[in-house]
Amino acid sequence: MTASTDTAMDTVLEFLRQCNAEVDTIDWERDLIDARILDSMAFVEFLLVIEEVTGTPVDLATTDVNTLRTLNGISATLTERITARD
Amino acid sequence: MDESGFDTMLARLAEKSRDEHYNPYTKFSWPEQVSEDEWWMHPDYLTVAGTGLVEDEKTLKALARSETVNFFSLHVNGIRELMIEVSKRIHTPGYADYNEYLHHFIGEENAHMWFFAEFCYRYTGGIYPEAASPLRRDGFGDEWDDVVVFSRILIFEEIFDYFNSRMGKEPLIPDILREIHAAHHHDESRHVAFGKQLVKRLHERACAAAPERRDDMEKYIKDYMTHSVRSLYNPQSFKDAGLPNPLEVRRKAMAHPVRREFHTKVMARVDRFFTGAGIFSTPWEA
Ligand SMILES: [Fe+2]
Ligand SMILES: [Fe+2]
Repeated sequence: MTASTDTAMDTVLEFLRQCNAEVDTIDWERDLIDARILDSMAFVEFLLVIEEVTGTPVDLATTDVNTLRTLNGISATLTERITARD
Repeated sequence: MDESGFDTMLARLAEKSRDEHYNPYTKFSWPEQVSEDEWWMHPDYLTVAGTGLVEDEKTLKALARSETVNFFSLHVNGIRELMIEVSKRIHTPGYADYNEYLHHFIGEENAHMWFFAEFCYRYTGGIYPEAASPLRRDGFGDEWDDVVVFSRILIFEEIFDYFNSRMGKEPLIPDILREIHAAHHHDESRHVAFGKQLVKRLHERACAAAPERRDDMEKYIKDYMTHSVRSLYNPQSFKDAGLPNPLEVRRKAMAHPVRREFHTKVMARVDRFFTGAGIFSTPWEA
């Protein structure tokens, strides 16, 4: 993970913490929706956070949102998007 | 409000709806164009008001235009989904008391959807698409889903009314915009009166049927209030106003203390209702 991916992940974690502080103790493989960290309303806001930290919009036609349901999945997505961008 | 008080209110609102019924398609005289030199919204009501994030008057005027489009689009997209839910319920068992008024509601919302969209298509590039969640919301169970639908409508209507009641008498904005805001405000005062009593009753019914979901519902409604306030800050309107960093402006504006105070003001009336009706145990926090 590069420095910029780390910062990006920190911003996302900060957002998720505001949704539900339990995100700090959650397993990185655990589903964030099942764990009630994210719900369908917060997800709209969450996608904008991803867009801002990676600098690329999340196109729902081509993105499988299921890859964004775990912290590991989010981290991988950030790495992928930031590498593609830089 | 007791049973007979509620019936009297319904009858009175239905009568008012009949008396005040108008033809939306002929009500307005649409001008050839709406000048871009004018403020389409009073600058105090822009999402960046009081934040100092945008100072240039030309940009602020552009934002007044794109935030008008956003505001109207929120009605078109938001009420579409809610009209579907109301249509599913009208003339079904349990709604007999409300059928008459729901007919007025659906008719009037259909009119609103038309004039809000019409403005956007006539004078701008059209409405903004909806920022829909890719995730499906889990149901709460029949009785509680009724509470969800009508609480959402009420929150939505109260936000609109905050702006409509003010823009409807704002001399600074173009006539056609003032007329649209005023017309909407006029119909919505009836909807809000009806909505409050209905939500109260539906909530009582749901509590009797499945009391264990009460706290979940409080959280859901409060989250919806937060979500609704955030929808006023559309990245697309910042982009269309020519701001180079829409997401950053949006984030900073939303979190600004002056704006949080504003959010509390917009929500004050509906928050007081939810707290007063015992639907909330604590007030909503901006
Ligand atoms: Fe309306
Ligand atoms: Fe309404």
